[in-house]
Amino acid sequence: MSTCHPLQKVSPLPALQERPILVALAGQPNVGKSTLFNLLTGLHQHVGNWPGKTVERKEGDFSFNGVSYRLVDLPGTYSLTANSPEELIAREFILRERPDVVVAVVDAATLERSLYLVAELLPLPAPVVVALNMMDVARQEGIQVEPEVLQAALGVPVIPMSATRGVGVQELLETVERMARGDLPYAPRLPQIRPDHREVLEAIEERIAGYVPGPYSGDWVALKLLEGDPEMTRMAREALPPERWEEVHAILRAHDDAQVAVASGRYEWIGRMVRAAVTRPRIGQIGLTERLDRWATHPFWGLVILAGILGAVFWLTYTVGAPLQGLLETALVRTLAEGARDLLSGAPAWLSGLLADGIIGGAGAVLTFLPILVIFFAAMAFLEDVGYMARAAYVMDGLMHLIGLHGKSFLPLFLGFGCNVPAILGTRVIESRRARLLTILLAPLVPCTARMAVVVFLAPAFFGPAAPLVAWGLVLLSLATLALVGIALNRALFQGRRSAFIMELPLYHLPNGRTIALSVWERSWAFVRKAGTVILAVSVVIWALSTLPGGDVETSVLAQLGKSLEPVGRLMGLDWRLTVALLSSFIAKENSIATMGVLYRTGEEGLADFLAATYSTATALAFLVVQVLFIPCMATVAAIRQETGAWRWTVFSIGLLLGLSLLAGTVTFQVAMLVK
Amino acid sequence: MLDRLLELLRAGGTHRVSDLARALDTTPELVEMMLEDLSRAGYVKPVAACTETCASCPLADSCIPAQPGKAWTLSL
Repeated sequence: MSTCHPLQKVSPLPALQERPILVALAGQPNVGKSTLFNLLTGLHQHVGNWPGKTVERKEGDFSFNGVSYRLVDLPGTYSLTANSPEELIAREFILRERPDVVVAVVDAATLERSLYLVAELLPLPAPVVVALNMMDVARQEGIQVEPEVLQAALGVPVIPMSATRGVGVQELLETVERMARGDLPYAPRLPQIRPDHREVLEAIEERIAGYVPGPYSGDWVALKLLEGDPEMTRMAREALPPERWEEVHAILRAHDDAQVAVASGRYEWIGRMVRAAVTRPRIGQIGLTERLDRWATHPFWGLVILAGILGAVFWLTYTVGAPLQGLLETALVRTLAEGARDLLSGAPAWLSGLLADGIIGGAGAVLTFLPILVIFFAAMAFLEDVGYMARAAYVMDGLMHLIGLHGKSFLPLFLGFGCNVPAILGTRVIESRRARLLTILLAPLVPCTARMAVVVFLAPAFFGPAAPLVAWGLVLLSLATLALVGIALNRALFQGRRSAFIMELPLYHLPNGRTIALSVWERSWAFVRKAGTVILAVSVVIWALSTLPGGDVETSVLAQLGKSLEPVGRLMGLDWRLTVALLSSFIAKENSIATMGVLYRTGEEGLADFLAATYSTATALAFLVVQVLFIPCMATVAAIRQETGAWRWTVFSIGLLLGLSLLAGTVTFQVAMLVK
Repeated sequence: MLDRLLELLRAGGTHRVSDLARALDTTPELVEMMLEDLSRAGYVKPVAACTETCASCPLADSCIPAQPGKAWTLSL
């Protein structure tokens, strides 16, 4: 802009002698603009609406050092790109009313965000004074902003202040007055468009020169046209002769990436300002998080740590949970079953059978692994609360990219660890149909909590102290299968297209007992509810099928069904009971345990001990392998049908998992027999 | 700077805002602003916030889509 000749200082601008200095207050929301406005104008405010808009217009009068001011509070905006009525009002006011000074209120604590607006204010035809507000807040957060450096970098006056405390207001007004009188040099450093687009900008400027109506300037309109500003595009189309507009339009069409080039220039500019004037803290919590993340999110060590933590969770779950489960089985299930038999000794045999074997033996057996689950849930909630789970997701995503999987697929798959149903519904975040389909097909291979619950119960029963290792191996097997199937399907469906995913990891923090307790309670209660409804119902049905027609399990309907499938089961070392247990897991995964509880009618011995004594290691291992890879539960299959919208994909998914699980089970059993 | 950010994203892979900031020699705050800008221009998409489907999900609180603006994907 202009600096004044010394002579002009003696006689101030005539306009200013007659009217108050017109000051526009600009800034994004929540930077203390209103505080400053109220502080300056007090009771002398007029509130109305901007002409033709429902946006509130506030202005007020005040005087300071004998000088009158009229202050107009522009709507709070982040930019001036005519995206909203507020942005348009702020811009049009400065262009048409030409305030003597624009005070840009910026937040010293979030300078980047505030400076974007300043980058857009500087090219407008009104001098800008930057009110660097919230200096106290920035200082509290350890952010050091140097106003003199910022002033030198911006080329406009920068006044440090803290409007809530009234600090710096006097200096601001003095500067505004001097600026309005032209007593201050004003040489703003403007953001520049990216060099490769400078010629394009000049080409447009040339073509619109002479046609741009006031109050707009040619270079500003050219920039806005490149940005795709709807208002300026409309204005230029009307103001330019048709053939000229066609030329301009052709240039714009050929450079549809210009918007990025213009914004890019502004970000470069903001980056330079911030690098020059701001020092941020690099100590304390941020430092700790960064130090931990150097390992926890490392492409290799991150995976090793994840595997280690997972192993530790299983070890803790089994070491503490398994004895409690045993205790509950002895104290609760057996006592209750015996009590029920005693109580109903006079009643019909079917009634005591239903209660003792069906309900208590089935749903009761499932309930006994509540302590194991509580510990498992608590460990997971702890990891979530300290901020580790986000890292686990991050390193898993890195792995997925390594094996050529679609990046967006990771989020829904991650949800699958909780439950496969939300994982499949969560694939809605993926737009590409093929990517979505692939993710839906892979989701059931993520071991959900219900599958893990079965593993957590059966692994100690079969393998004793080696249980954590087996459980850990089963999780790795699931994920490895997922990776291999992913690679195969990805090759077939995607031809290795790339995608990016950006996420922010929360800071590590101390766990909150209440949050963890709440999470454990919610998940445990959900499990108990399931045991009391779906699992109870299935237990009763399994009991009925295993009792009818003659009352003997061996000749029951269920036995006949199981035995008809025995040839397949035998490949994996499974007898008809284990086969039926596997089939019942289709209703809900936990039913495997409930079914075993009903079928074995173990009474005194306890289910876990009975299983350990009955089945070989090879059979046990094969059963667990099939269990984790088997067809998902009914709810998941329904979700697959709903989200793929096609039975053929639902059937494909079932077929794929059935084939995979039977193959893996057979291989496991045969290899285990050979090793033995 | 915006174009360099886009280049980094187009190379694929998973990125953290802090890593992108380091690569661009700027602050995470500015990277977040640029992502919002790219999102307005349709280059990236914020990962959809949780809908009612998630309400019953026990993992909803820890799930990344539950924290709007924290995760982004490249629009393909």
